Amino acid sequence: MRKIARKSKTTREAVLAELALMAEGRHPECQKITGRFVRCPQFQQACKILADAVQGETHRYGAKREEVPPPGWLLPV
Amino acid sequence: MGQASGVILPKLDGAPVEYRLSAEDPRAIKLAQTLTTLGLAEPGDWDEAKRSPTNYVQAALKRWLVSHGGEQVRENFALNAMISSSPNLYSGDDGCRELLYLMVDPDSAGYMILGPTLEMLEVIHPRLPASFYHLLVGAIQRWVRMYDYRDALERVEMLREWAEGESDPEQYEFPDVEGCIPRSMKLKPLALKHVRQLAVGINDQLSRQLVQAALDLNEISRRLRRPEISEETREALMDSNPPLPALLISFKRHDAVLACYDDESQAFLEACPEPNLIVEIDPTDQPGVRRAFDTLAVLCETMAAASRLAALLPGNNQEG
Repeated sequence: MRKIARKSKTTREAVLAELALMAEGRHPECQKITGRFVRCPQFQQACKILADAVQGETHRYGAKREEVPPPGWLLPV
Repeated sequence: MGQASGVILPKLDGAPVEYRLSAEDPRAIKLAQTLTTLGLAEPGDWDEAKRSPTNYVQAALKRWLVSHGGEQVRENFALNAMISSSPNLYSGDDGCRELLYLMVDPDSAGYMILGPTLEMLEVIHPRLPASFYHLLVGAIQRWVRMYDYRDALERVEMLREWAEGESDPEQYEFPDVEGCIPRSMKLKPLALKHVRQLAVGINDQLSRQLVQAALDLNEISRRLRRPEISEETREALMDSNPPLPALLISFKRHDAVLACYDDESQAFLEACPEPNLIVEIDPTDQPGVRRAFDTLAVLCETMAAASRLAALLPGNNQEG
C-alpha cells in the first residue's frame, strides 16, 4: 500500500511564537518539572542534597529503619 | 544475601515513564529563531523535531547539506557537519557562552589516484598535468585538509632527521616519494587563462571533461573565503593536532605517498585534531548566521564538484 506523505501545516509564525515562549521560559514545556529543574539552581541544589543523603544512607553500615513509610511507599528489599 | 539499607523508596506507579527534558541551550533557541526568520529552517520540520530547537536546527542543517550537494559529497568523502557549543569537542571546554560553532570534519579520508590522468593530459600539453593538479588541490585545500606528495616529502625529511640521530642511520629505509612523482609535475603550471583556452580545444572527450571539471571546481571553491576565527577560539584549539585529512591524493595505487600516509596516520589522533572548518556563529546575528550557512554551502558544493571529478578519474575506482 502506498503511503501518502502528509505535509505538516505548522506555520513560520507558529514556530516563531513557540520559540519566543521558550526563550522567555514561558513555554508549557518549561513549566514541567524537568523544565523547572534545568532553569532553577536552587531546585538542582536541593536535588543534589537529597541524592547525597540517600547515597549516604545506603552506605551507612547496619542502618536501622525506624521511620514508618508513608502509605504506597515500598520497603527496601 | 545483602543487608537492607533502610532506605524507603516511593512507588513509581502512575509516574510518567519518560520525561522529555527541554534543557535547551538558549543559544539553540536563538539560532532556531534566526534560521526560521531567515527561511533557512523549514517550519514543517518543527513537529518532526518534536518541538525541540536543537533537533529543529539539526533538521535545518541536514536540509541545507542535502540542497548543496550533500549526497554527491557522500559518494567520495566521509564528512560530518555539526553545530556545537564548544570549538573543541574533546576538551569539554564550553567556549564563548554567546557563540555556537559550525564545524566540518572527516570520519576518514577520500582517495584519488591521479597518475593515469596526468599521463593522459601530458599528451595534450606538457604543462597541463601540473596545471590540473594544482587547480584540483588548490580548490580542495581552500576548504579541507588534504594529504599529498608534499606532506609525504615532509614526512620522509622528518624521518631522515630522526634517523640521523641514531647510531646506525643506514639501517633505515624510507619510502621513495621523490621517485614516485611524475616528471610532468615538476613543470610550471599554466596560467588559468591558458588552461581555459586549452580546455575548449581538447579533442579527447574524457580529457576535456576532466580539465573542465577542474576549472569548475576551482571556480566553485572561490565563491567565498574561509572566515577568520577569533583569538579566543584559536586559543581553545592551541593544543590540538592538525586537522584530519579529508582526502589523500597519490599517483599510483600503493605508492610511496600512500606508504607515508599510512605511517603518519597512526599519530593523527594522538591529540585531538583541529576541525577542518570552524565558523563562529552568534545565533542572534542574522547576517552572520546567513554567512555561516553560505560558507558551509560553498564547502559542500566544492566537495560535490570534487566528487564529480573523482568519478571521471581513470583508474580511480579499480579495486586492489
